[in-house]
Amino acid sequence: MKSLAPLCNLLLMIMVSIWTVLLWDPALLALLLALELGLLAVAGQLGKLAKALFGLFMVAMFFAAIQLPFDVAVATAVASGLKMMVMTVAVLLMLATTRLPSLTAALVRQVRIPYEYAFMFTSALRFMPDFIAESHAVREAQVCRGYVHSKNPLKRIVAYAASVEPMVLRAITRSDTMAMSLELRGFGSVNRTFSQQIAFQTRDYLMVGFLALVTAAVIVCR
Amino acid sequence: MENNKPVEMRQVKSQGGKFRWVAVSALLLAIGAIMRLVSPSFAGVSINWIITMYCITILVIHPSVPKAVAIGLVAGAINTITSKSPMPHLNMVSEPIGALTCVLLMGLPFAMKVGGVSLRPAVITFITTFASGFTFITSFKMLMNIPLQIYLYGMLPVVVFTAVANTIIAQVLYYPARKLLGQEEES
Amino acid sequence: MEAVRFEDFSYQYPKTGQGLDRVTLSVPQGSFTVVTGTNGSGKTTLCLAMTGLVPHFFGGAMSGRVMVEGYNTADRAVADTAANVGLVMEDYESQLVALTVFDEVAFALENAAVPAHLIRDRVLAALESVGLAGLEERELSALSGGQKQRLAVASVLVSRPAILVLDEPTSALDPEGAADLYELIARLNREQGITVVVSEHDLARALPHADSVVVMAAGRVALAGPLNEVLTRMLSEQVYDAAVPSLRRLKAALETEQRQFSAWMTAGEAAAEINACLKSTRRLSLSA
Repeated sequence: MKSLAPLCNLLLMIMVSIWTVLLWDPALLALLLALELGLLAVAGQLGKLAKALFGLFMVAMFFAAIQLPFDVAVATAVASGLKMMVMTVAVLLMLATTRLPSLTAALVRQVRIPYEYAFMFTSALRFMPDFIAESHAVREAQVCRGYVHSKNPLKRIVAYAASVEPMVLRAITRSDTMAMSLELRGFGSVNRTFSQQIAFQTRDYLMVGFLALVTAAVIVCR
Repeated sequence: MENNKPVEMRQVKSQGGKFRWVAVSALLLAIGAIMRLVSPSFAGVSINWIITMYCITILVIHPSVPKAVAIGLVAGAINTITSKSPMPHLNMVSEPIGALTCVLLMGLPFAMKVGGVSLRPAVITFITTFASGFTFITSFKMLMNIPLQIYLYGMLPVVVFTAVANTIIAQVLYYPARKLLGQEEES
Repeated sequence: MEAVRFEDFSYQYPKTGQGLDRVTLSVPQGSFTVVTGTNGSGKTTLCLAMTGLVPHFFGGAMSGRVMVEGYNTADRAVADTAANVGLVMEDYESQLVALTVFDEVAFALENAAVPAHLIRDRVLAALESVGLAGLEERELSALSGGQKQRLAVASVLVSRPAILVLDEPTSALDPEGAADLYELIARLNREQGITVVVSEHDLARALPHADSVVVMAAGRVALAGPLNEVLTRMLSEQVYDAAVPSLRRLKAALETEQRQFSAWMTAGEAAAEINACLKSTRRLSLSA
């Protein structure tokens, strides 16, 4: 999986999601889920994601259970819970096996998404850890001023928004520096190279062929 | 250097706006993603910070329709990889639709003023959040064959409550943000 | 030849109207210049004017011109001037936009359409020169503040600029970090012949490495020239004289007074007498 081209991994996620929409057989869905978990294990991510997967499983079970009082067949309810899991795990699998800078490079070069859009995505991810520290300051401000004690939830939301304000304003100030940095470093040029390895290899073509076959099979089986 | 007579100056046009929209969008969406992870819920109602943040972004930077949809797509992608909700990739559909709704509403010639206070950010954010949430839960329902009762009484109210919470946040944060970006008062 | 030359350059920001006022200044090639002055004296604007961001990014009113490596910045795109001048801003963290160290340094090269197979070696060389070799796969969030600043330096060095401009680089660093950073910049100046311009309110930090000083006041160049000459004139003409490091002030005070001292027996006696001497020479006093 890690050795597949980023676009191929994305394609895998999309195709699995499409199969899952089409399939209603709990056994097939369970097989798909088992395959996904197997791939996660091969990628060495199963242990790291165990907690998230368990949480997801509980949500899916709950979701299947609440349908039962509404005249939904047990098989259908179980299938819908499984569908939810298969689709979500497909996303987790793609994230676990694809480097995001490579994925954005692939989206720009192979899918022709404008680079500005892809850049917006990676740079937003770049700044997220910086804002975690600032969000702690927001929480401390909350505690200091005693906002948490107000009974009226509307008042609390207004107070909360006010305490987020400095963070937003600082971000807008920072955007000035960031825009200057982009200008200085030639952002927005027409010809741009990417240093990431994103080209399709033989194994990627094989994977695409395999995905096409399974998709055809799923459509026929329905 | 003791020369004090005034100098003839020529005006230079600012080109600083060229990538500012990318920078502002990226930073505000990053805040949205973080706040979504850390902010508490208020009497059971949680705020969808990502939607709130792209509403504020679109309201302050006035992007073209394609750029607004791009902001929505990026918001959806960030939501997909950070949210813990089931089927996160549905955000790739719902957020562009929300962003499109937002930018189209901005083009409407209504003042939306109540006693001198413009409620544009509030009204636009409410409708945008509803559009995004409605798209999400409706596609969820269709893909999963959810019983109508669960959809109507379990999911739709959550969307409305979130929209109300988002509306308050956007109304509070929009004016200071716009002031800092130095835009003229809208007519 | 001069690396940068300001020719009667005036500039006003569009909103505040503040900026630079008839600046004439030359920065010699290969020099290490410190720009100092109080907050709001125009240090940052001077730095930005060397990159073309002033006036292009901000707009506003200007007259005169700024020549960088023989090119008029007003006639060139900011990205083209950036091939000659690298800028590390005070808020260097916001200058960094990529997820990993490698991507950050490669960013300018990728934008400049440098062929992919040439990028890797140049990125690794730039990281090596700032002491970040081996960290190329790191995520930015895993770097310390000082490492991020070095990364910002590497991300502009990779374009091989002849001039490196740093705006208040030590404002967020502790004294040790500041000394390390100046060591690094001085090495780049010495070994690679890069012309260095640093804006710094704390002159003492830059002093061991600088060879010329510019003192800004109210958007004008108050003093400029070789280090020793400017330090002397800062004191004698009382231009931002409080910023002159205390040992330099002591030296100047002792030299102008040509005093005789009693035979000191204790450090206390010596300090008392030196302080008395300093007090008598106008407003100078030894705080350290």
